[in-house]
Amino acid sequence: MGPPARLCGVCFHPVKITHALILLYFVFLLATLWWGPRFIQGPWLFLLRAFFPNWKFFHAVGHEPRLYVRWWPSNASGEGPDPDTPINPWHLVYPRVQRSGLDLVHNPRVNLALSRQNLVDHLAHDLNHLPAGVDARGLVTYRLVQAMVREHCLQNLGATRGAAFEFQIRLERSDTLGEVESHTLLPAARGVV
Amino acid sequence: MGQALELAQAVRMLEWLLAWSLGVQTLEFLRIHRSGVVERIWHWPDQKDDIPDRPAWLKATLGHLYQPAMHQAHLWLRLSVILHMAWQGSSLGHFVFLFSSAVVVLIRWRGAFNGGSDFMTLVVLTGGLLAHAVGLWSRPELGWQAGLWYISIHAISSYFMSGWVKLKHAQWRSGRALTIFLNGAIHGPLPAGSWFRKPWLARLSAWGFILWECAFPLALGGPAQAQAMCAVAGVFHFLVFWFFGLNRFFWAWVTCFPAVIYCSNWRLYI
Repeated sequence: MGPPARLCGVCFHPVKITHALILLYFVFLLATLWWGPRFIQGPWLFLLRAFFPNWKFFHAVGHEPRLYVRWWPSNASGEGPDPDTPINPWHLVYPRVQRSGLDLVHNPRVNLALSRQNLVDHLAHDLNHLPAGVDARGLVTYRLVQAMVREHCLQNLGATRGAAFEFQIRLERSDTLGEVESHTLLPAARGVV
Repeated sequence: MGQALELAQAVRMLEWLLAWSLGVQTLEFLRIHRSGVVERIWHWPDQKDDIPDRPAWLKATLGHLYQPAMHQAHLWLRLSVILHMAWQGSSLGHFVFLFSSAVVVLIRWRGAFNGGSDFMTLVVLTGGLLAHAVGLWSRPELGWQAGLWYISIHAISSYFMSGWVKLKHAQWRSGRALTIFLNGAIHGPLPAGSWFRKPWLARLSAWGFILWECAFPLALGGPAQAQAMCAVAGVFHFLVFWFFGLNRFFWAWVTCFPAVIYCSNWRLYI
């Protein structure tokens, strides 16, 4: 390592510069924590949000988004329910997986299940921030959740290709004994399996 | 009294743990992609609308990178770089590749796959990048000291902030939040006779977590304190895995422990 550089009488030693840069970085992080979401806006910042700390793990109990699905075989025209077949009841799509100790080292099914629920959370967030008059069907999260519902109907609810489905996003609040309050955020969105 | 970690020991332990943590993540991604679910749900032609149109070359490059065969090849390459780092020790090239790879994978998952564990993995990768970059310009020891401090400050503040946020919420102070979150967890709901339904035990557990998390900066008191805090943290993260299924959190935070234990001996070199 060479001697520290001097500029206008100020010593630019690598140690000092390293400390200054690290300090500057943490001042920036503190600013992001202080000003919160206003600081982290825009599509690129959303996609790169993992660079910003958010240590609010399981911090507040509140309304949680839940996805409900129902399906029915289509009629001959494929546009409405088959009059001879009842519409199946609403079904909650929420990740529940049996525990295994081996999951500590290889856990794709739980992580994937949690990612599905994250999609539902993101759709709920997008719906809450959707400007008046804008169609929710244009949201990326809407299309991804719709694809998830399609797969769920096929794999878990016994639906066949061509069947129609409906999904809802409800916000539910629970206490220690179970659900205490629920209201619908996205009333009934449709699709075809 | 706890054993202090030498710089070289801390760096090597960090490299091994990082390799393990990234290896676990990469094998999981490979399994998930092989199942085809990513193409069915996180379909790139739909998801690419998240990406700004400008610069156009970037969107086109990402589209190319996220073609299924290309993405799988990227993950296999990443696995081989991880193994090489674990075997040979790290270099700037390892960290530049692994950092870029982590960003590419995160964008494929709309910015986050597993929340906090993604962030902590990026912190360790950034720490390694910082260490090698400063090492090029100055002494390698200074580079790793900077990198380990960067990781350590993030790890310590993660516990402290998490505890502080819980302390501010009445439902955490009463223990009710713990029961509610355990009920909603992926392995839940709690059985009717679960001990965590007993309000006094839920309150006691919640206060135990809050006080321990808020006290985590005491880890910088010396190697003995750091090792004790990290041992409790290991148990804490195992419980989080056991109840919430978050295995990646366990490995992502354990990777930071060599940095915390090394930095706890700061009196020797500051």
